[in-house]
Amino acid sequence: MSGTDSENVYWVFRRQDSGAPLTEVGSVDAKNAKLAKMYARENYARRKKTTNLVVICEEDMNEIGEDAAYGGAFDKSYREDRGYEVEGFPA
Amino acid sequence: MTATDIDDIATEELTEFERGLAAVLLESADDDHVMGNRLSDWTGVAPTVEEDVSISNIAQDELGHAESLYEEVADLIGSSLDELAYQRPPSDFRNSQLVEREFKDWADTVVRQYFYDVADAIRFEELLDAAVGEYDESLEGYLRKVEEEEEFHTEHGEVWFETLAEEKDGKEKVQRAIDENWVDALAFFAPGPESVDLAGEDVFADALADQRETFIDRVSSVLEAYGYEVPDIEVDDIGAGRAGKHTDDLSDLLAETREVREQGIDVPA
Repeated sequence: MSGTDSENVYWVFRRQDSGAPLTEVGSVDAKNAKLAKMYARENYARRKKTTNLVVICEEDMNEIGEDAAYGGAFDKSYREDRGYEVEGFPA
Repeated sequence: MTATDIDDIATEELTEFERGLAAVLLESADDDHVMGNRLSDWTGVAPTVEEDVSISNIAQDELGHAESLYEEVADLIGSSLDELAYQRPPSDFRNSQLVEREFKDWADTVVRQYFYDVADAIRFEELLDAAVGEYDESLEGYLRKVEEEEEFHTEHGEVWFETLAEEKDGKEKVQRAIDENWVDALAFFAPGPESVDLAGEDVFADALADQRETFIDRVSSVLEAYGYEVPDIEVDDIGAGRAGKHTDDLSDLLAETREVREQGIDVPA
């Protein structure tokens, strides 16, 4: 959200079913974690089956960033694990 | 001015228990109807987009409760939702003044919404601990669901008390709102125009005066936890709203809810 300090941005992650991964669903603008949790529930759990929601303050996220070489310099596409998609579990 | 007695709007013969139950449910419906509309003043202009969703959701819940509570009362006394919500004059409304006045600022809103929801929760507990279940099982089931939904509302207030306590300016505004609304909050537990002994008839588990003490205890522990002071004001013989005495803010609010209807436009529910 533009114009909002990163200390007020909380990213929201949702778990649909027990055992399913946490999936990023969006963010909320909140003064503290308690408000963020309340808003996350209101905005991201009311219309969809949800077993768990997690909010993380943007300030607390440790990003590796785009500069890192993800997967090495040579072509190693044979290592990629495509073809194992399971419904509800993003690859 | 006094609100019209239940017996004068009822088309059915009521037992003493039914009169008491109808009176309490009508107070509850009026409170929810007025509070729901009042809270929706924030829709579109709440402090943040997220809060807009939150406060509007609470407003919508209250309006939903009002609708079904009016229907329950209508069934009990032989009236209709339409008649009860849209055709009674403001002086017949039994809502507490706590819910009717325009909000001064966000702190005033947080405090009044919280006071109201704690008081409302006590009212439902007291109903459910008494004889309503023996009288009508489905009504009891419905009241339990409302009680459940209200839990989220009190959480909303508590989170804001804590958030606003973090800064001097916010804390002062909340404290001022607590002081200004204390008497109105206690007046929530005042009797309506009928002289029904509600606890004696087993409509409520405890008398209104005891419910008021429960309210003071419950609210005090939360206020003190966040460093607010509980006003030390002794009041008795209050409760103008319950008896039908209201501010102009109520007439304005009700007029707004009736605007479309009074133009003769038929909007099917």
